[in-house]
Amino acid sequence: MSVESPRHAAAQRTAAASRRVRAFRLASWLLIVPTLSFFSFSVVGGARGLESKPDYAGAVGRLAHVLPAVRSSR
Amino acid sequence: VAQRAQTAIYAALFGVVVGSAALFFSHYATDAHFWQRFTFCYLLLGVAYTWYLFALLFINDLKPRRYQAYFREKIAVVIPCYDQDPQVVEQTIRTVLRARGLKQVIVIDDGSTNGVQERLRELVATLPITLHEFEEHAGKREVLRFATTRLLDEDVQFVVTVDSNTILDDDALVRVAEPLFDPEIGASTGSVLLRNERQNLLTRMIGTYTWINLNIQKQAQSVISNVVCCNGCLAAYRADLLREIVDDFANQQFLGERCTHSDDRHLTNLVLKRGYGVVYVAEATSWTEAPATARGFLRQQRRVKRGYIRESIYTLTYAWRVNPLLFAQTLCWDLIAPFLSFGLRIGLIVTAISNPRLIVTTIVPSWIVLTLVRNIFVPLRAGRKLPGLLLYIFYSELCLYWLNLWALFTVKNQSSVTRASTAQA
Repeated sequence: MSVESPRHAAAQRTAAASRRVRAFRLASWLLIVPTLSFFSFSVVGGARGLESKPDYAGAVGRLAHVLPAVRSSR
Repeated sequence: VAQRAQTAIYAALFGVVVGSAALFFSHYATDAHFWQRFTFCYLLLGVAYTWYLFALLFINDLKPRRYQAYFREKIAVVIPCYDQDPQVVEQTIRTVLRARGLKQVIVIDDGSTNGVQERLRELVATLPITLHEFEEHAGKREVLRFATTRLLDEDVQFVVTVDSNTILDDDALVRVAEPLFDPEIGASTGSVLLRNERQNLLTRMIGTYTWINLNIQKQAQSVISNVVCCNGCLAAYRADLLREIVDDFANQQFLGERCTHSDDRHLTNLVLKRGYGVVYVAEATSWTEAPATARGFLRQQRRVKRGYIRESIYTLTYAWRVNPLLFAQTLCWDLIAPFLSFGLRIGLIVTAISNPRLIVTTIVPSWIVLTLVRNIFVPLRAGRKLPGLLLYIFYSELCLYWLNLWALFTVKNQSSVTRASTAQA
């Protein structure tokens, strides 16, 4: 069979590694995704902790159970 | 208008640096939680960008690009040479001639003063190459303009630029040219490996740094045809497109001065500006030498960082209308993020002085773990580069960031191109 332009006869090729390497690369995502998720939650969670304000009301509430009540009189 | 826009963006970057520092100091003066919110948002930006990169890399692994195979299209290979070691440039020319593909090989001596011309003249007598000699050093931009406008054969379809200290694999030329059969792609670049990677600790680190830049950054950018810099070691352009843009390339000005460095990044910018895609081909392999001394490497990096800022600013002036994704990526990650983190760096220094134990026991180990996760591809796909990665973590934090800041203040400084390789260009 002849073709008008030899350019069109050139086959397509895939710019990728061998099938085995490609399979390994795809499988590596099973490790990459959970690791990256853990990384994201650690970073965001850690940074979120920076923003939280101290729970003064809760701390006072807990003190009330621990310390004896002091009654003051005028 | 473009010049004014560039000046305005440049000035705004100083505003970002000052604003970031002001935010840090504000937490001493006010009870407001601006600083904490800022830190949170910055880290969120970092995480979002990491997911973005990884998503692109996943797409690349899942569905690699397909290109038409090279047949016998003519490729012009331009090798600019300036004060290069005669033996090294001869090796480069011979590997180019040996590489597959129908070629026109053009060597231009850019006014060398080390006598390399004599060796080049001897080579012309025995090898099928075209040699032109400039009387005075004019720079890579003029070299490429001269080659494109005066020396190219009429039937040349692609132009490949190769640095004079680069060695090519046999398939490198055809592999790097193949993406250009796609009419939407205007340029492509290949992989760069270091010949002297095992020379010392520094070259090992540079080897890792280069690998990360190519196999993570450029590979990810390539998925959306947005590679922002075609490496000078091995880059291919459509010949007709190069003829169209080469004058703009040679005449670039920034803040009223003519530009003489970061040539490859600007040429890539001009390709992207015209709406073409730019891709990275991992299989097109070239080999070059990295600086083996800290002084040489820092000198190279200073030049790279200045170009990085200048060209990122240039990208913003056109990408908003031709490539919104490139615009967002350049604005958020390449320009704002590094300077926005200035306040965070001050915070780290203050912590290191006031509470060194916290730095040693918590911040540094956490940072190492997080950086390892961000670069998880190194242990998974290039295990030998792991020691280099550990060095790179410290180098990037202690040195690379501050080079960025230094480059911001000296972006107009016009250093000439050195002979040292520009693997990270």
